Amino acid sequence: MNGAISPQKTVQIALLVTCLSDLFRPQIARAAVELIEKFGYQVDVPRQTCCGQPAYNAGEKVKARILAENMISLFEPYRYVVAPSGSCAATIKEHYPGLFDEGSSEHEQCMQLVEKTHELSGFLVDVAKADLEKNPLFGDRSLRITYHDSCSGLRELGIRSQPRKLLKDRLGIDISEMPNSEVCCGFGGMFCVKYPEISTRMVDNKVDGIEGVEAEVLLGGDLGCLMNIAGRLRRIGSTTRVYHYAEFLADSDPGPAIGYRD
Amino acid sequence: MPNSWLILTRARQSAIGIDMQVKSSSFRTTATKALLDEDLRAAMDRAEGGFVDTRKQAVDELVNFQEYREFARSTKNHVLAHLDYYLTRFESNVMASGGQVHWASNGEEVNRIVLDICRRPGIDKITKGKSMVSEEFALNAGLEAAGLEVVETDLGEYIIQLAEETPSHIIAPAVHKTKQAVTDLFEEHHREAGYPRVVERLDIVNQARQVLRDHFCTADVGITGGNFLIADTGSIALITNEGNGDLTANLPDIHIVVTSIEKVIPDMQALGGFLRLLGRSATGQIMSVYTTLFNGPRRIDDLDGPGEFHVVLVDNGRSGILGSQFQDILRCIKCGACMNHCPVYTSIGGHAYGWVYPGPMGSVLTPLMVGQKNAPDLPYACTLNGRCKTVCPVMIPLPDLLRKHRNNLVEMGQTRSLQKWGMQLWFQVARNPSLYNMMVGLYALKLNMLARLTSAFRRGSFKRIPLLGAWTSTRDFPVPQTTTFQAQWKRQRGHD
Amino acid sequence: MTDSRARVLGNIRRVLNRTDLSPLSGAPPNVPSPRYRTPLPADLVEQFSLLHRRVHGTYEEVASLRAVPQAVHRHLSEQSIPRKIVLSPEPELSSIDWEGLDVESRAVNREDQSSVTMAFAGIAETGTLAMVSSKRSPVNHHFLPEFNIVVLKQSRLVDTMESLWPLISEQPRTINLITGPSKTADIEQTIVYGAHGPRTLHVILVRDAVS
Repeated sequence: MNGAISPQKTVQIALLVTCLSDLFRPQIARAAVELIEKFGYQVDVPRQTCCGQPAYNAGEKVKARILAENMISLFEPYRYVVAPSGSCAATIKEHYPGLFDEGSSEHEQCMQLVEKTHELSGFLVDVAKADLEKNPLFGDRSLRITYHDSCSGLRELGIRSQPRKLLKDRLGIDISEMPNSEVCCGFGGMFCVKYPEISTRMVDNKVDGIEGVEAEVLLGGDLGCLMNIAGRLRRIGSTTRVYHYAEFLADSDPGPAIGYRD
Repeated sequence: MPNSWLILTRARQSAIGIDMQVKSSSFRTTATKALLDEDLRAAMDRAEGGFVDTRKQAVDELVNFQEYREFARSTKNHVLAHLDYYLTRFESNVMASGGQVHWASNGEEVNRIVLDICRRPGIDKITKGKSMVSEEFALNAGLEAAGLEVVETDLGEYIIQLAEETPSHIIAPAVHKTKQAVTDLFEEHHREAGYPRVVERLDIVNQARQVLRDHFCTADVGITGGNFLIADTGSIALITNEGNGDLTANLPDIHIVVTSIEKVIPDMQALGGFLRLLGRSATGQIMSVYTTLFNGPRRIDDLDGPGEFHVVLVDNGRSGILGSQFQDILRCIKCGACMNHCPVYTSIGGHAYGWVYPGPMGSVLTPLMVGQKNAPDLPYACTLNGRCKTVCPVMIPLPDLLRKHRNNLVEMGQTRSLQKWGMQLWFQVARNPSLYNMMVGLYALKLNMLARLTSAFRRGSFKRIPLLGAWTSTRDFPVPQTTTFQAQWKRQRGHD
Repeated sequence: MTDSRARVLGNIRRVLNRTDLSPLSGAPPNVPSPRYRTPLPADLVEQFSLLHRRVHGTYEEVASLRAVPQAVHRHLSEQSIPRKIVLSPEPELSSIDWEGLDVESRAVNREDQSSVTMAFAGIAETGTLAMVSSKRSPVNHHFLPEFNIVVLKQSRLVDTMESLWPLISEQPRTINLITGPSKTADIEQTIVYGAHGPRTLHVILVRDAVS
């Protein structure tokens, strides 16, 4: 296996699987485990549920707090918590603290989780200082690839350069940037089913951007957005395939794209 | 006289409109209709591109833009924490320069104050500069109902007035109108006075210039808004690009400023900081064309200027927001950057929001000013993508405030029952890891079986799923694998 | 509306927990303004003219006030504007020999097409003209005519807005900060010049500070 050799075998990392990956796309979580292990970290997946993001964004603060408490105690023993999703990581890092009274012991415990939680690419680049060697398997692939910056990761966690650096270092991929890469795709959790007409217009704008750069592949870091974009692309008969960036970075073949069987 | 009859009829229509003006409860219907409006789409595409790019250029040019944002946030917070002090200081300084200050706790009082000033012989016509505050309580309708002629002088506002519509953007009120629509409107309204049909942009602007010149020069009262109130000097800062505000303020014998209490800032030093933010954030201008500071009526040896200078300080619900969990919204300087960068706003335009202020700041402010019951959709009309928050010059955490609205709706039990019970069910599952894993596993299995019954399995995605029509009416939905990741992990590596 | 005043201020004081309703003594501590840090060229004239032109202003330089009439003359011919101008009643302007131009020094009215005014100051940072109203400098000159010519002395050029305020000793009725000719983008977000104010704004910079 290529990749850095690290003395960090003893460092325990918990994977925050994320509900969507757990249910709809296990291979994202698998790829995340593979990438983290590549750097000599030990990965564990404690039995988990949801970070509470849907409740929190719906204004259900009480429910969100109960789910947050579960997460805080679940991840207590680990050195790091890594999620292959900007929005799940941001829920913890940006919004958990507001659920507890400042100065309380719950808040203190919460801050410990906040400190050690990372989005996958942010963890690999900023914490593990990953220096991925080029993967020969993909060396010759000359796909035209564009990238969608999911909003939470981008604006709440500053995830923008990290996945691009990993893709460049490992696969030599230069992203064909679309002008609206930083504009919301219209997913927005409940928003896409509460206002499907508006959501569809927004994803159509995103599709315009993707088609504008004639991308064969769209990558991103949040499965909700990717399912939304992939679903629309598929519906209108586009041939662009959609993957999570982790699936591209891992050694194993990414396999069928989101919403495809082959 | 047919003319005054027309004015009265329109006034009566508008007067009825006072009760009906909050249309935020029909958000979804209006928004869906707006999506089908091709003209609107073209207009919004054009506007979005222009506003976003020019803002970015202008912002990048100011090396310490971020420092100014932080300054503006702190200054506004500071003023809000001492609002009584700064307002009374402003008041006494206006009076010292010969101006009169009126306080109004609500729109009804503003209308009465302005009418009291205008109700005297010889006052027939009022010119008006763009004032979003005055839209809150349909000031024009109130004045027209009293038989006064009110002419909006900002070109966008004038177009909207002719069309009998409301603004769809706080700095570009007619952003939704096409050139063609303006051509037709002008022909309809100017033909009688002998003006030709104009098609070219320059000709349209020229015709408006001519028509409005007549009004500027014959108006008895000019009403403008104010962007900043400077406590230290009692000055009102008014910012425009057309120059209509100054002609409105300086030509008639009476100038009335209708403005709201949160606009006060400490001094001229602070004004510089705010001006550097406002033009850049609003239109990507380093400085708007006209920034004017008004201090009272004409002086004894002045050759021009109004004989009377009135300032109406409007509360209209703002003191109720002060000190609340929504206080941050009172920092707003009405630049419009949040809406220009909002993918929801640029998809549906401003009218769908149903009241004076659209877009992110409107979705926060409207429920506070008209009542949450009257705008139940607005807090949800947002994907929480956060783009607005990153461009706001006074750093208002707009998505967080929208979440607070949602939280209040939940706590007041005002969410729709389907949403409430769906959330409750999901929560009971999500709080219990064993139950959760079992349910998610079953759901994966169920979707998989459903897929095998249809072509979805071979295809890899569903074209239709019962109960998920809101998604699948326009988007495919992926078929999951038979086992969840956590189940796979347990099998392979084992935990618990 | 004393009742309303009491009500509004009462509401504010209640939510701010102000128990003492007497006016606060002295100003509460203020938030310091940031310094303008974008580098400006040493030559403020260069920055001013660049910014002024960028917003569609026209510009020329002359060596002294005596050369202003010729410049005005030239500008009027180039723009095919009638050679009739209204000066603001600024002694420095009226004392110039206007050589064959039809000049009146008075308030402007609707029919006047061109005005010549003298700027109180110029702000290099933004290419802005600062006009301070007085009996010598009425306000309508800046807005009513279609063509506005402004004489700006180099010695009156300041770097940023903050340097302007100390120059204004007594509070005037009106301060007009003018940055370019009037414009609108209200028709399909496309800029058209000459919305309600002047269509053209011509600055004649007098190099009175040349060392």
